[in-house]
Amino acid sequence: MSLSRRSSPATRTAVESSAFEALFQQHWEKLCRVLYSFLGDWDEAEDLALDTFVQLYHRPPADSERLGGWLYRVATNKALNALRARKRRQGYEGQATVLALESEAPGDPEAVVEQAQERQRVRAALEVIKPRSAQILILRHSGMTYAEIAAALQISPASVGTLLARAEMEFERAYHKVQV
Amino acid sequence: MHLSPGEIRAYHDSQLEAGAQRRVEAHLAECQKCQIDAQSALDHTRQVGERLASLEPSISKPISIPAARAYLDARLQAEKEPIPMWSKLTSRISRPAWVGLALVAVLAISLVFPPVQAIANSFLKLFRVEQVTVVPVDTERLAGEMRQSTRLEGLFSESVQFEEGGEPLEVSSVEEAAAQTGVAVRLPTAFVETPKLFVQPGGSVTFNIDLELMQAVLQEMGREDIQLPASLDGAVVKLEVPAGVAALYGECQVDDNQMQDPDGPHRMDIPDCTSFVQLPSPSVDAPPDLNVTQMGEIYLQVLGMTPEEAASFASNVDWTSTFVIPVPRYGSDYQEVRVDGVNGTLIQHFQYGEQAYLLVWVKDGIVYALSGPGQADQALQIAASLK
Repeated sequence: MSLSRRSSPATRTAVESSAFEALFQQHWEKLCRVLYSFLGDWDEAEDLALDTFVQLYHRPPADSERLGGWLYRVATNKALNALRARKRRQGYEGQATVLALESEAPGDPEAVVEQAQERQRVRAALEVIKPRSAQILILRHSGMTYAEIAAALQISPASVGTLLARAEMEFERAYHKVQV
Repeated sequence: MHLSPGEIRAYHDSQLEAGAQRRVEAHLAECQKCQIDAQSALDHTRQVGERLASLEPSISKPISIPAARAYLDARLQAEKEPIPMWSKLTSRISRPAWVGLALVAVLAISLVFPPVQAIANSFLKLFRVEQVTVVPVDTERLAGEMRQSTRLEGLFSESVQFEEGGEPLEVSSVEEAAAQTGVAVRLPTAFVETPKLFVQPGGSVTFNIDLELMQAVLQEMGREDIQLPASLDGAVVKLEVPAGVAALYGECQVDDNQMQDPDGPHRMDIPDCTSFVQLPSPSVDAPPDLNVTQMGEIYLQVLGMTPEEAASFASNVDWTSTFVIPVPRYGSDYQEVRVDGVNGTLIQHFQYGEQAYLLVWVKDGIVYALSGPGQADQALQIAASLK
């Protein structure tokens, strides 16, 4: 699969590649869901997903055979950066905003608060573990196969099981340490 | 021979090849220790899975594909990939000199707008870079504003004189680099490979301020809100950058002919190049009654801050000794870190779709800049290995 762009500056913004179109159709929703897992905010998840496709359009990677993997690697890197930036920028107030954003489902108020605190704790743990560990956990949890994860994170498919097992240990230790 | 945690995990996920899956199953049927390990791993995986499940959206989902496609089209139609002005300015400069001369380019932009109280040709006030700080900039907006100006390039070509000391020169040893630059060259021991060493001769940038031209450019950029004092006209400010040393590890470009044209297509391969640059602090000569805080405020306004934001930020910066690096507000992240016994600035960003870092700090009058592909912890590990 490869991407092409029109070379004329006047028409450069038009996407004409069927490969690009197919990638967008295939990955939009799943990419947004993965980003949502990190961010807990649809607006931000969709914005970063769009950013990733814009980046793909303007600067496609050299290896045009593994564009799907590239999408998830770049998008999850963006999400981790956004999480760090958000944490530093907003502190406690930001966390409160996220709690409010995600508390959209009606139900027992106590249960809603409990769920929100759990999400906050899980995200806090994901922020402190190694970025690759956070990526591998979320990508596997989203249903990706080992081959897909390997392509996304540029690792050997044979090492995915080992890295997943390590990431889970790392996550559990961080989960028990973080304070919310 | 017992099963590894990785094998057990892949077995539970049914991600082994058929033969390997059967072998693990057969082993588990016979090995009690592995049965216990596998059960424990399965419990652990389920527990982590339950925690991660809390992050899944409950009732909502992203906007539909057609709606998202419309947003994407609008974004692609609206924006041409922005090319930061400093990329253009440094496009003809080979990679070893990039960091040092990016300092020049960025400072050049900052110094185009100093509200100097005007005593031309008087260089009594000396600034020296002693520390680094970061200001987030909406680069897309700034690039858009700069594109609106037809006279910006004229401003640079007429008002700014670059005096470069020549091309980077490869040297064969640390001692040779030290002898040519006067820098006590330090290298990270984190790399097993021997770096390529280059000496970048020093250079200077002189600004002859033409107030009328600057005001015309600001007007074209839609920034009539920025007021330049009349006394600025005719002032001369000179920035001097001493010779420095660049150590390159990995696949680095050093040939001018291979340099990327920022107006051309983006390069497709991802360079695996880590560079470590060290040079004595650049200095600025300017008229003695330069109002540095006011100069800083104007610089920050040009970069996109409101007057209030600029005043607040500028009042917390010692402009006589601080190098303010503009970093893109979106797509990059920065933090203050402890490095080499001093405070430094670590910028993480994307380069060709991959994570990359730039770590800058100043110690004992030397500016250090480490840049390469990878994560923040790699930068800090490399910096910690400096000898």
